[in-house]
Amino acid sequence: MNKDGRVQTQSKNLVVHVSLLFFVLLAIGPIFVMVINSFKTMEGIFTGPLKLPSSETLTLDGFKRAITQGNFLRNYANSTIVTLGATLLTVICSCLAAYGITEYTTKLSKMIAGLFTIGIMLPVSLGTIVIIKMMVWLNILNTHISLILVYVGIFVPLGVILMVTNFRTVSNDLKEAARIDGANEFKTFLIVVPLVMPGVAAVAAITMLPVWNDLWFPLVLTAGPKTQTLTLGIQQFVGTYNNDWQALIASLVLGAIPLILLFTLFSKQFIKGLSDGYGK
Amino acid sequence: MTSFYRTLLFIPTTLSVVIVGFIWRIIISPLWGIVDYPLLGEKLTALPTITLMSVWQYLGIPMVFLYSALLSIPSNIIEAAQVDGASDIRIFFRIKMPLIAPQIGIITILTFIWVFNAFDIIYALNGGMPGPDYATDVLGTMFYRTFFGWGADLGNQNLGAATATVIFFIILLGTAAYFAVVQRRLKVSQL
Repeated sequence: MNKDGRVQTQSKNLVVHVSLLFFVLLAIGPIFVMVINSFKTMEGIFTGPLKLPSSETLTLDGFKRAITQGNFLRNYANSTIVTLGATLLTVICSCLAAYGITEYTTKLSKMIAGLFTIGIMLPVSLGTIVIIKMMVWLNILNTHISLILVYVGIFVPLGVILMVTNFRTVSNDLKEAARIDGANEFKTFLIVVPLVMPGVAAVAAITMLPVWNDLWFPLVLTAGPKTQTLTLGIQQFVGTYNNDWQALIASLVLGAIPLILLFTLFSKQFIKGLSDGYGK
Repeated sequence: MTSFYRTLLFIPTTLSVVIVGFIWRIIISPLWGIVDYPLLGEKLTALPTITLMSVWQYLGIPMVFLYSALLSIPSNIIEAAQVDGASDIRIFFRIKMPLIAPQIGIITILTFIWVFNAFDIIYALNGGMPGPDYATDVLGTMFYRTFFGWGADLGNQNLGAATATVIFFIILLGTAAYFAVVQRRLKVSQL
């Protein structure tokens, strides 16, 4: 059985690798084509879209025009502000809420946990009309804060559920010891937080991805050029400069790079966050 | 090796819908791309094409989710089956799939809810305009149009709110049906 087993494993391995490579090609191919075309001249793009940029067609013009025309750097800054702000607030609120739910078990806490579970499933974009009215009433329409608040509202339920499973793994002895030593509740909380750092990383990862890529709420709440996010900016750029293919493709590549970089560096946390989050 | 494939296969999910829409629009455009037929312009093929684009983008999420579900299957069950001489295909269909069935159910219903609001990619491709002969006009884009108005039609807040309520109830129905049907079956086959 040994020899048979080994031969089988080899051919099975080959099939597995070939199929995976096929899917990887399907997944990465279009992106790769985009990237190589962003370095080409207009002529290069149209005559040989699938060819690598040669010495004749290599150029950085597209990138130059993409950055100078339109609001590019401002959009980058806006996206960064909104994403970081939303992630930070979500993490803080999720940790506090989850600690409360796991520490003080009452009927109310069970109800609150149930509410958060429902909150994951409910698409907030349906309440857009009311959200806009609230923002107008609070006078913060077209500011970063409005976006950040909305995103915190969307992602806190998921964060709470994620952190609850994490907080449950902390042993009670540690908390009791802290309390006996005279720490108040908040200090105890601060002691526990470093123990749930993987959960925190997961919540951060799972919030950053959709917030950066979101199109709906920036379109609805912060459409002005001063507060546009990168995703919205690219969308408008694509709509406006329909003929400047070089700048178009270059702007797309520039828009994709931050998250691709972020993701490849932190892929473990991203994946852990996504899988832990929805697996109950 | 696993992390190599996993990371690469997840990259489309990290892109924003604008990028995905544009890349695929170029690739399948009759002028520039590899297909002769105007897939996005024809009434019949527009929506399925957009659907496939969305699938291409979001494959990463169920992949990651079910990957970790598969990892959590205790290995002694698999080994016992292998010792008993079961082929890999049989192991997959008879052992692994039933064990991850709850997760498949969860990701199905979550995908249903998310995609039902699939406004982003259609807007990125068609820009608020209902597609060829209203072919790509989904509830999400209709909600946007009724609330904000489009071109000569002025927005009507009440109509927009009504559209949103309809969407909400459809999602509610779907979720309730899922919980009624699937969860009941799950109670029977608890390990």
